Amino acid sequence: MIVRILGDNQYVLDSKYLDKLNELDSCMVDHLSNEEVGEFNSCLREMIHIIREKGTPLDPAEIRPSDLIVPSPDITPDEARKLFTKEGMIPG
Amino acid sequence: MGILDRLTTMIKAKISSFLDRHEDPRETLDYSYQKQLELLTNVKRGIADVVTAKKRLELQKAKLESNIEDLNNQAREAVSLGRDDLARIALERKKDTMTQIESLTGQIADLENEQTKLVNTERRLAAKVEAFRTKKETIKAQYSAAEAQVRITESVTGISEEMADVGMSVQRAEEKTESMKARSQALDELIDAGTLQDLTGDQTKVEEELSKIKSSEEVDQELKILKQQVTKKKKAKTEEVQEAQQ
Repeated sequence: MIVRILGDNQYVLDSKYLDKLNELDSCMVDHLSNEEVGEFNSCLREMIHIIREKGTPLDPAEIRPSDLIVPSPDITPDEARKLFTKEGMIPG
Repeated sequence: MGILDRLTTMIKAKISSFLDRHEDPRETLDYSYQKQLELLTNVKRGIADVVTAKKRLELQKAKLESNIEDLNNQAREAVSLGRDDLARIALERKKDTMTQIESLTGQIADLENEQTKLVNTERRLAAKVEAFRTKKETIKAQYSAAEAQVRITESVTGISEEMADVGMSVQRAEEKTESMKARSQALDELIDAGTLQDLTGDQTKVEEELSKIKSSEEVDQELKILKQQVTKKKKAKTEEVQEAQQ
């Protein structure tokens, strides 16, 4: 599958890591609602680490849609919270 | 719903509304390409903004560093005049200034980081736009309408995702630059006012205070001489009167 890390790159990643990514995603959501910034960041860091370590960057000349989009490594909990409101975080 | 689902769905929704805008898929290709070029210009402008903001902060930092030297001199002068209270104010301001310098150093590093990220983003987008341009011409020239439709959807979806990503990066960089601009404007006012204000709420400049002391010392000196002269004259007059009486 193709995974995009926002503000970084697209990676080709084996689908077997999907469960782990989902687990870390729930971890982020949990800590987001509990206002635990440190834990939120550590889940995010681990997620980014797995994608970069286990995946290979997609050739920049290839134009392909991603199966999964992951937030930027420096997303703040405030920005993440915006994803769950109407205003979202995508401009335009 | 998790963050990844939410993010992926939001971006895909935005892309599909973009794809639905044109009846003729070939138009979508041209429109998308035009948007890509606009975005590329936007990224370049974003980089220029970050560089300008960074230079401004570097300039402020240099000014504050030269203020430190002035404050040191003022403190020394105050001590030599026996005014420990003023020396204390100068040293407090120096400490304040040093805190500001430290915060500026962090902000400059932050912008440097933002600049590197945007330069990488620009490079990646430029490669994609070039690939898209080639693909666009191929699709237009070689495929039947039905086949073209599929290929157009695929490549426009791919590039639109890239554009949404780049758009967000540029927006985040802009927000960061804006907030730093506001802060640096506030700092400019402080720098213009001379040295930074001290924490005790006393807003007079140490420099002014020192020159006031100097001039009041001169006045004191003159007053003293004047008093001595007057006393001398009085004494002389008394002596004259006494002599006349005798």
